Amino acid sequence: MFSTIHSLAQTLLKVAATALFIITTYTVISFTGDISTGLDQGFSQERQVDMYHLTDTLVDPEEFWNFRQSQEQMETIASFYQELTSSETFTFLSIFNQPLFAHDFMGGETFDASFGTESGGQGEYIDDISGRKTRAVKSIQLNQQAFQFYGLTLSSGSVPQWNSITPQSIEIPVVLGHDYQEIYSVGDIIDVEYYFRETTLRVSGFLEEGSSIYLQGTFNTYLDDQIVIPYPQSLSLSDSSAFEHEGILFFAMIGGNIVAPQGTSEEMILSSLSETATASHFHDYTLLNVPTYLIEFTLMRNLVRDNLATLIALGVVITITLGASLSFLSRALLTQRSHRYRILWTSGASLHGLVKKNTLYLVGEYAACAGVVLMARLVLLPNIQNITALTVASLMLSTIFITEAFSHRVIIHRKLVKPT
Amino acid sequence: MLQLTHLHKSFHESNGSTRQVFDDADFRLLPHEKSLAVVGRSGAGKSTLLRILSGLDQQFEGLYSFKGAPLAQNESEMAAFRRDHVGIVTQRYELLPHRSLLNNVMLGAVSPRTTREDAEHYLDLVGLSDSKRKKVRELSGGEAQRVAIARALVKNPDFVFADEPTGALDEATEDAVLGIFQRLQGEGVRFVIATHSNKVKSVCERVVRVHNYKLVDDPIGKQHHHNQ
Repeated sequence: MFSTIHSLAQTLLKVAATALFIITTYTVISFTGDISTGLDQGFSQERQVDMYHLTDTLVDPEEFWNFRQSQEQMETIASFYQELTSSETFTFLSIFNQPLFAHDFMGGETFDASFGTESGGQGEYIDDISGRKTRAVKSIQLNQQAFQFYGLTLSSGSVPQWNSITPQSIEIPVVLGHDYQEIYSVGDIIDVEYYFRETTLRVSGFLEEGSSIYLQGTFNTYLDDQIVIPYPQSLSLSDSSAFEHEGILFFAMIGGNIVAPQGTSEEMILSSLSETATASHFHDYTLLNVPTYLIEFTLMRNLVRDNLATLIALGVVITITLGASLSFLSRALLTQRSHRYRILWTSGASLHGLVKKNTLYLVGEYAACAGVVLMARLVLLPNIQNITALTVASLMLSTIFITEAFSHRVIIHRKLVKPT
Repeated sequence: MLQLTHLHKSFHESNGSTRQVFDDADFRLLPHEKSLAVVGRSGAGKSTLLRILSGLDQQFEGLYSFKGAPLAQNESEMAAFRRDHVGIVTQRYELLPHRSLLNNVMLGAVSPRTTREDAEHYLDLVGLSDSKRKKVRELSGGEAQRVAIARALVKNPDFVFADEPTGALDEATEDAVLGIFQRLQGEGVRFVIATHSNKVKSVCERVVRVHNYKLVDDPIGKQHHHNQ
C-alpha cells in the first residue's frame, strides 16, 4: 500500500510539475508578447508624446440644438476641425464610440453595444420606422491621424480611401474587428443608422486580432468586436436639411485627443488652440489635462519596460527550475518502475511489452497534465488569448512527451539488458 | 533436454579490449538430471552462462536448443521461453521491499494462467504462508530468498536457474534453503545453480566447472564433497 501511495504521489507530483512547467512557459511567452505589444501602443516613451483631451462645452441641449440650426455656426465648427487637423504644433486624434443601429445584423449579442456592460440593452428588436430587425452594435469612429497613430493594420482587405469619404457619403467603407471575420466578408454591406441617417457600410477589410486604441481613459480598448468607421478627411456642409446628421457628426469629430511631442508646454498647446479658435471663430471647446491616474499608469509602464528583461529572466529561471525538477521526478519514477520491469522481464515479460506498458503510463500522465493545463487556462488565465503561446505550450508538451517516451525506451532497454 | 553447443561469448571492456568468456563450450542438462551445479572462479562466466540459458543475454554465438528444437536468439522468443519454462533466482533476491510477499510472488506470474492460489501454494511450499501479507522489507535474508524462490516457482517452470542463491546467507539459513531445493527436486523441479558453495554442490546430481573458456564435468569435486 505504501509503495502504491508513494508511486501515486510521485506520479501526481510529476503531473503537477509538468502542468506548472507548461503553464509557466505559456505565461512567460504570453507576457513577453503582450508587454512588447503594450509598450509599442499608445503614447509610450518611444513615441515621446504628451496627450490632452479636447471636448466641446455645449452641454445645454437647447444651446446645442440651436447651434446646429445655424449654417454660420456650423461653418465655424467645420473650420475648427480643419484647423485642428492641419496644426503644426500637435496632432489631433478624433475618436468617438457612438453605437450604430444595424439592420438585419448577422452577428450575435456579443457585438451588442450593451454586451459586457451593466445595462441590459434592448438586444435585437423590430425598428418602428423601417420594420427591420435592428440591433445597437459597438462602433468606433476615428480620423486617419488616429488610425495611423495607433498603428492599426489589417489582416485582410484594404484600408478605406480616406479622401473618398465626405460628411454627405451615404455609403462608407469600413473596417471590422477580428471577431467579424466569421460573419462578414470583404465587400459585404451592413445597413445602419449612423448619427440619425440611414447609411450603408461596405466592408473594406478586417483588423489584426487584438488591435486596440486609447479611448476615454482606457488604454487597451480592443477593437475585435467593433465596426470602425473612418471620419471624413475634410468637413463641408450641405443644405440645412442635413444639419441634424452633420451637426452631430461635426461635434463628435472635434472630440478627441491632442498629442504633442514631449517638451511641448501646455501653454504652447493652448496658444495654438487659441489661434485655431480665432481663425475659425469657434470658441466652445476646452482642453482637459491628462488624468493623474494616466500619468501613474505611464510611470508604471516605464517601470515595467525598464524591468522587462528582469521579469522575463525571472520567468525563464522559474521555467528552467521547473524543467529540471520535472526531469528529476521523471527519472525517479522511471527508476522505481524499472525495478518492477526488471522482475517482470526476468519472469518472461517481453521488452517490447514493458516499453509499451511504460508508454501507456506516460500517456496517462500527460493526458492528466493536458487536462490540468486546459483547466488552468480556462479558470486561471481566461484573459490570456495568446494563440502563439498556446501553440508553443502544446508543442512543448508534445515534445516532452515524445522525448520522454523515447528516452525511457532506451533507458529501460539499458537497465534491463545490462547484467547486474 | 537443454543443450547449448559451440558456445562463444566475449565482452567488450570499457578500455577497448575484448574479454573472452566461452570458446566453443558445450552445455547439456540431460532429461533425467534434476540438478546441476556450475562452479568456477569468480568472473569465469557462471552468471553469464545462466543469463544465456535463461535468455536474458542473446549476444552469443552457438546453438541453443530445448527438447531438440533450436531456440531463436531474439528477444520475443527468449521472453516466451522464460515465461513458459524458466524460473530465475538471484543472489540479491530482486524483490520490491514495500510490497507484500504475496504481491511479490504474483509478479513472477506473467502468464494469466497463474492464479493467486498458485502464489499462496508456493509461499506455503517455502514455509511462508503465515507471512503472506507481510512486507518484504520486514523479512530476513533467508526469508527473502525463500520469497524469491516462490516467485520463480509460481508459474510452475521446467527449470529454475539460480545464481549464487545462498551467497548472502548464513550457514543455518543456507541449510534451510537447500532443504527446500531438495524437497522441490523431489517434486520434479530441475535446478541449474551457479555457486561457490560446497554445500550447494553436494546436493546437486552433477557439477560442471567453467575452465579455460570451456564447460567441463567436475566428478572430483562432486566426489570430494560426497566424501565430506
